[in-house]
Amino acid sequence: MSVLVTLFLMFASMSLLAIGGANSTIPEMQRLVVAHGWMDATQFAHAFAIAQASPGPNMLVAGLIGWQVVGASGAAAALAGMCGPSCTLTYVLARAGDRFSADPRIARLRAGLVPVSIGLILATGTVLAQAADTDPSRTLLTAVTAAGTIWTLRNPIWFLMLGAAVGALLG
Amino acid sequence: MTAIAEDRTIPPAVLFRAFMAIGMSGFGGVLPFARRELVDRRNWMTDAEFAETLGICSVLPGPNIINIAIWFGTRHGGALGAIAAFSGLVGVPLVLLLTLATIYGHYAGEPRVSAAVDGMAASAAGLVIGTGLVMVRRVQPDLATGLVLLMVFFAAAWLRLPLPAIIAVAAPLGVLAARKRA
Repeated sequence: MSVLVTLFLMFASMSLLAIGGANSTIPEMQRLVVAHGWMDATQFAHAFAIAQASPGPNMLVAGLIGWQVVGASGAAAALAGMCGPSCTLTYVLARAGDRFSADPRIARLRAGLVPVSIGLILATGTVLAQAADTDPSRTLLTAVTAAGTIWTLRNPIWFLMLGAAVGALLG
Repeated sequence: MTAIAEDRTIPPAVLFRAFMAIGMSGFGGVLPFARRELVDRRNWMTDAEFAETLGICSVLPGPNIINIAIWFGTRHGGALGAIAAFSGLVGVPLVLLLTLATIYGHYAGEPRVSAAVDGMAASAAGLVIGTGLVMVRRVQPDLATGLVLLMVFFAAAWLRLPLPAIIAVAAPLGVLAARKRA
């Protein structure tokens, strides 16, 4: 199967499984990207970091992965997979009107998905830390950033710049 | 009370600019900025309408913020409006990201540059962990919800089980836990 088709199908399935945002799918994305031999875990963690350091929706990391695997056509295939089917469905439902938006089942389903989404997001952080924290200074950076995110309201970009500065100085 | 009528048309160019502002304003996710732009700045939606739209868009498959762009664009500009909102949200940030990645690709061989990105990757992992913990604090899970959360975490981070399997088991359990809590 062509690599473009593989990218499209892989990200289309990611899109269906994105509970609570694209970052929930990172452990699965990393697992598949490594299994395909497209990147190793460290390269994946780098790609994720670069995507975080650039403004925009989190799902852009899909485009970056496609780009690094085969270039512009790969980015297009990955993003088409990530957005095409789900956007079409959303468009059709938005056209159909409000009929189902008041349905209490939506609220129940949404509440039930909250712990799934949080569990996946914490797994994302852990999987990325396993790849990125290759020495104690990096582990400290991860811990400081996590603590800073919880107890301060600093823009994430400052922590990424701190990480880059510490990395460059110690590396 | 509605901020603007559900069927009021917004020109595609205006939708494009509004969603571009959202896309360009955030690092590590832009969802909080969607509320600021659509509710506070443009007064296109009330808080309640935004919450309702987010509710629908978060149970639909696909990234939530993308679904909001499509939903809102469709409601206020049809197919063209949806395309305009989506392009604004994704287009410019994508070009910026690929440019950044290309520049990095040129210098990835430099030890200092790759060490800097190593450090940034460690911080990025911390950002995601911190975000997850903030969500835990906000939700204050009870025992049943907390168990579902831990099970999902363990399955995804340590067992590395496939995501469809995790969701197939955990989503019904989550709904059950939420029902018990209500």
